[in-house]
Amino acid sequence: MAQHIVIAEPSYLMKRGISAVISDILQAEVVFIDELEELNHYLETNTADFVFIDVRLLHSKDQREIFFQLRGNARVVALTGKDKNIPASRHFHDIMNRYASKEEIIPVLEKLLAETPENKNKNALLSERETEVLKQVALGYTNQQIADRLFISRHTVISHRKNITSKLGIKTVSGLTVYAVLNNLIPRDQIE
Amino acid sequence: MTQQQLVTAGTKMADVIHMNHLLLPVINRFGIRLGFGDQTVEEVCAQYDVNLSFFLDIVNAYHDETYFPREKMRAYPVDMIVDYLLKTHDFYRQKMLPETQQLVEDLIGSCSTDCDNLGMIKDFFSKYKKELENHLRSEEEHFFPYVQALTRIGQVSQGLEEIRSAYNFSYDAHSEEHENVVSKMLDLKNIIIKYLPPDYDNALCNNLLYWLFIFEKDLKDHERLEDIILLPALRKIEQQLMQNSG
Ligand SMILES: [Fe+2]
Ligand SMILES: [Fe+2]
Repeated sequence: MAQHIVIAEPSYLMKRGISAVISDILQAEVVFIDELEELNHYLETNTADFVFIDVRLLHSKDQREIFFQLRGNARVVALTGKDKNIPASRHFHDIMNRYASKEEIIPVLEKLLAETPENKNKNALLSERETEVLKQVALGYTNQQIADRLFISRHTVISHRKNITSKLGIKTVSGLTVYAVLNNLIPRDQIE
Repeated sequence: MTQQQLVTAGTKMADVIHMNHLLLPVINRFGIRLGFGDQTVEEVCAQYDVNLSFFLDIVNAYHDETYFPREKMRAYPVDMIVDYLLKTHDFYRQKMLPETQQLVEDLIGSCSTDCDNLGMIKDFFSKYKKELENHLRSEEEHFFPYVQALTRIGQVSQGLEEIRSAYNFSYDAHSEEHENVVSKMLDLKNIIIKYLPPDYDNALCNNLLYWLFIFEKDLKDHERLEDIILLPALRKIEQQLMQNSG
């Protein structure tokens, strides 16, 4: 599946450049964003595999905190220039310098790519537990109901659902229901 | 050879279509039709009485995802933006949705055995079609007229609160609907690409997929205009009105 990449960077030249370099090495769906607020808004409803962010966008502390909470499992790469001081640097998985050469950039990207959890279990089938959760979702139960029925926490249900979505590429309940029926996980007549 | 990326006033309108044929429905929304000979974008816009700068921003934003001059676009008159969005709604209702439905039905019709599973895809789409139509209607009843009413607030006797309760627009519900219509479109594509039951006709299925890719691209562009241009414009108007009154 294509990687979802967000490039948060106001400079047009940089945006074009980064997306060109990325598409050299992987199949990606790229979203371009100019402001940190807009990035946070985007992450409220979308997940990203990678976020490349210009450190100059991180000056607002409040928005920065929100971003680190919303980023989920995304690998975050800081785009820096000559500046040595990077705010909140421990939050970044890697750093890319805008003056770096191609030989320096490509290994950074390849390393990042190899580390993504999604890539580690690429093509992996759903685990037994995930299949169980998927069935319950398809039958129309809410996260809380599923937690009660399977004797697990609501938090665990949510994390299973995230994995299911990333493995199958299907996000909505109705989409997952179609998948479950097509794969004979639940009988057709049990759905509303 | 590198391809031309940006459309400018002097670009030939015919070249715009050669550059990206997906722009055809976008151009149609401005009322512009084929047969422009060697006329430039500027000349065609003048002929059809279309705002050149707005046209260029819409076309370029659609064609090149790195091009999206937010502040500039938020400053266009609300009526101009809403008019474009409404034309897009008509296009979805009159063209994209019925056409997609037809393609789904063609695909189902090509099935000879074990058709229940393909039927699931049809049901999924039928539900989606209703949800998208509801979303379009709710924007036409709550979102657009609310923004438009606020821009006329000086000329009418009603205040912010009255107008707000008259149109009953909810930011949260709106953003949930956007999330839903975009996610379901992606799900539909993925279900077909990854999990389609084997009994189907290749050509018919490809037709449907080509169409869904076009639809998705157009829909994302549309929702982006609403989320990133029109919504912040609305927030700004609301804030100004609240400051003025408070
Ligand atoms: Fe809309
Ligand atoms: Fe919308």
